[in-house]
Amino acid sequence: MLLVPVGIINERHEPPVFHGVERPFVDDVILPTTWFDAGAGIHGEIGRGLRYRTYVMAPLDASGFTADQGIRDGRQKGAESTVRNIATTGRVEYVGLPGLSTGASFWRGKTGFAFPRIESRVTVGEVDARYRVRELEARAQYAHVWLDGMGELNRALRLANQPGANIAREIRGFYVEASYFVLPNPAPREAAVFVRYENFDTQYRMPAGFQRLQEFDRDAWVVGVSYYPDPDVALKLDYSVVRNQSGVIDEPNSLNIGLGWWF
Amino acid sequence: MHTDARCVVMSFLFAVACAAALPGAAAAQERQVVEMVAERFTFTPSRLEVAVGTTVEIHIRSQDTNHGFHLVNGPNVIVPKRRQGEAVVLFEADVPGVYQFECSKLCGAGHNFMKGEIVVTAGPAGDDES
Repeated sequence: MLLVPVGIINERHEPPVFHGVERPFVDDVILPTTWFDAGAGIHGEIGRGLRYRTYVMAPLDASGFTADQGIRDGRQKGAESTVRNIATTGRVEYVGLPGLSTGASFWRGKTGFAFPRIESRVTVGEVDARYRVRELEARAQYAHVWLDGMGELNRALRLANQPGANIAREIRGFYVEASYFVLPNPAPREAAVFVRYENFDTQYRMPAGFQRLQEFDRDAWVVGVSYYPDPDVALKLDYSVVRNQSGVIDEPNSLNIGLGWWF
Repeated sequence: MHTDARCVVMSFLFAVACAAALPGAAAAQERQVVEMVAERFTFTPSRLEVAVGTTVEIHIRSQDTNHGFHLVNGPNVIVPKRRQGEAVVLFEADVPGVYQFECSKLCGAGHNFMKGEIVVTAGPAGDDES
């Protein structure tokens, strides 16, 4: 079982790794963390701060794709995964400068095995960066997903049991985040305040003949605090303001309190 | 309270017999200090290249939880959690070769990926590589 090596969160997806009670929206509806499946691959060092990972894995299942959550529900999660076609994925990271970690990753595979007459292929591209200087940390991530064959898939799903199927042919999202650790270092405990802006659209480009659902073109501001009584335990409080481009449907804002730990 | 207590210092001699046979082995060795970061699931830098005859002083700090630093067939130390200190390992690069190190404390799903190597060259060393 392998974790797909895309994005900042997926391979280290436990609560102390990210700010906010919930993971970034982009790491939910654009990159479907926690994304894992059966596979095999290689990893290693190129040198001068460059490292890589590349795997072959079980693919996504296009029958689970949706208009609001993109490819998220297409994860097969390893158990009894169908592997009619092999997906490929990989990541290159550069960690050669102190405090800086950057990466680029991809995932590509045929996903239409539940609909043999539909040529459904998904390509995921992603870039990210983290930078830490003293008590200030910044993160940024951009992810883009191309979905081929969604027109045919939408029509097939509508004829089956999903009359509202409206999967996009491209989805994309990004976020930028800044955090500051407010307790002096060294200290036995830590606390950080953070702010994050996210913009994510699961209807970015539509197949011919399908209309964008603007309520799924969203952005969000998330502000909060993370308190770490131990590096493996995080007590979190945040407030999320989510908006969309629809003039009719509102997104709820939320106040979140959470306790998480790495187990 | 300052908790930066250096927790472990270990000296490690590789192939003492071979080193003793080298001419000038008793001469003062060059010392190289390396600051290393351990974070799920990598060491940074994870590849060091040093010239034979160098004493490498590796200071390892964690960015998250406890990790282990195990030089295969050599020392095995615990790296304290973030902000709770550092581990220091001394490595005497007496014999050219590649020496593997790995995390020795189960730290999560990618624990088995957490590896690195020290390359001891016969000639002048290159720069540290990650």
